[in-house]
Amino acid sequence: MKCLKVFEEFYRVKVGLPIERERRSAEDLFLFLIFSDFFGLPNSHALLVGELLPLLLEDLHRWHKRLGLDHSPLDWLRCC
Amino acid sequence: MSGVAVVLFAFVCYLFGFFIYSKYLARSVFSLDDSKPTPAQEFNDGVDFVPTNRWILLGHHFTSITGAGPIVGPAIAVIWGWVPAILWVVLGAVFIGAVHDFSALVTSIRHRARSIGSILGDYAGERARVLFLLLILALAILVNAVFAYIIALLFTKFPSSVLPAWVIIPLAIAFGWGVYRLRINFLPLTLFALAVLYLSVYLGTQFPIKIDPVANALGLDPIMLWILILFTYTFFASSLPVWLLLQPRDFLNGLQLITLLALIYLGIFVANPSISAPAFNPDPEGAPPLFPFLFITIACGALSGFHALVSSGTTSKQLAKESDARTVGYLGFLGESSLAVAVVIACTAGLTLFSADRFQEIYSSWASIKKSAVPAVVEGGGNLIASLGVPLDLAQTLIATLIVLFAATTMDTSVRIQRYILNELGYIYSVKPLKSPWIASFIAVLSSMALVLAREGGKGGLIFWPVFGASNQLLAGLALIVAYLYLRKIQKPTWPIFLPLIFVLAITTVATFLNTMNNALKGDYLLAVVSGLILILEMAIIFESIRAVRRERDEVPEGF
Repeated sequence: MKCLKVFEEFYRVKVGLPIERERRSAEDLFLFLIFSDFFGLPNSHALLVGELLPLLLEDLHRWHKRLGLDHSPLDWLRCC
Repeated sequence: MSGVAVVLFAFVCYLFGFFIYSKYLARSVFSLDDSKPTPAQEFNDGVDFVPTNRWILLGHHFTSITGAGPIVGPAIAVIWGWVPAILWVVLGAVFIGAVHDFSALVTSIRHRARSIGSILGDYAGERARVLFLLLILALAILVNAVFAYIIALLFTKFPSSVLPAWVIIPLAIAFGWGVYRLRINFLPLTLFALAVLYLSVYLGTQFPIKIDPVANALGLDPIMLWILILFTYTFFASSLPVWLLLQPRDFLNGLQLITLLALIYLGIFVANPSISAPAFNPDPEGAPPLFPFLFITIACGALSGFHALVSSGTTSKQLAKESDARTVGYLGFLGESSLAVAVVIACTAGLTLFSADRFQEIYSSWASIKKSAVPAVVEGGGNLIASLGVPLDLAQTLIATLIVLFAATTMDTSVRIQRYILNELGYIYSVKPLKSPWIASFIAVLSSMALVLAREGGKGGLIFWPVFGASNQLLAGLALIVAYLYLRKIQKPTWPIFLPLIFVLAITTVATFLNTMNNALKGDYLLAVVSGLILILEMAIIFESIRAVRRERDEVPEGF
């Protein structure tokens, strides 16, 4: 049983984390597109993605923490 | 001399290295302190920075740094006799190679887990960082040229390895798709993949695949055709997302690496072969002199600069405690070195297990080993595994397949690295075409392919191996320079880093100089030019290091 746990952990470090990294970059791109107005890029879907914002709060929080910002960089969207 | 005795000698040296020398390095030189938070603890984000159990991290680090490199170098170098090869592999690992990996890891964690290239930029300036990038580019071009030849050679000498080597590609893609997209548990998928891989090894022995008829119809040599196929495959494979092929294959390779090591060592202890090959052969026919060429022929296994990229890339972001660096960095390298020891035994004692004259036949001259050194590992290692009761053809197919898999993964990774570097150079110097990933990949693949095919239509690819070894050690020299400058800065003893640094720079300078001159005199201008370029890089690195040390010395100490 312990062997299985060690093997699982080995798999997580070897494959799980790199895959997680890939997933995160894809998510970052998605967030970038959602908040593109903030970066000065026109967002023709701003009204439609508004509905997504409550669902994205958690992602936004993780993202700004990773960037080294203590609080959300968006004045109108506070997650913490 | 008994093979088991040689293995015991190596392991006693490793025990000394791990329990005494690395402890000294950890306590008195780098002053590792578990109360200081590591970057993994400080910036824990669950993805990049993750504190990881040291034994798990050791497994990950060891399987990331070890590949076909420690198999090829020792397989060639035993031509000078097995004693110099073993001494360099074991003592080089304990006092130089493992120290390099360990110091790169510690230097990185003390600089917020940044990469060695980026830390080098801080200590030695932007020019040194560009040199670092150019050296990695040269390394990647050379390694692809050599590994493409080795895979092509193994495919033609052991056609039974063709089927399993290609079966793993759709298998790894299915594995990646299963865990990433379909979110199937990895355990049944792993068992399934291993079962299919071993079944394909068996089927490979039943249905060997030869491409000679196709090659003849096209008017090409089979080796040349394989090289063309391999580079075409690498061009596309290196453009796939990493989760689809590279990571799953790397995971399966890691498991195979441990299996291979266990089987060969078990074979050595069961067969207990005696080494009848010459212990010392200073002047083989047509070979360059043992000193300094032995030291650049065996790079991986004794010292490898590529490891600094892994140590300061992902490993340093996952170290839970500073003291774990000893287990992960130092012991991880000893693991790679043990593979090089196994290869030396396989190519000497294993090779002569069933036929006493086999070593003399294969290692008769420098010219002959171009085609037979790597197949000698397959043959010798196969003999050792066969002594465990495994059918000989199955054992040989297994080893040939594993060498192909390790080499193919390295090719895939190094084309990706070449692409990133070309992209970066494209942005730095505003060269628009280099910014495109497809064009960068095309240039990466084409440069390696041109290099290998320029030599006798691919058949002389292994001739670039010593130049690859030299550039790999130069890269190690750069990482040692960073560690040396860091130790000077924190005012700690520098000799355990300084002496290896001087040794590495002196050996590679003499070896690349002799290589350039000898080949220019022989009229082999291609090899002379490639070697000459590495020599120029070497001179630039030495110049930059002296400048960095002098600049650091002239700086006013902090607090003044």
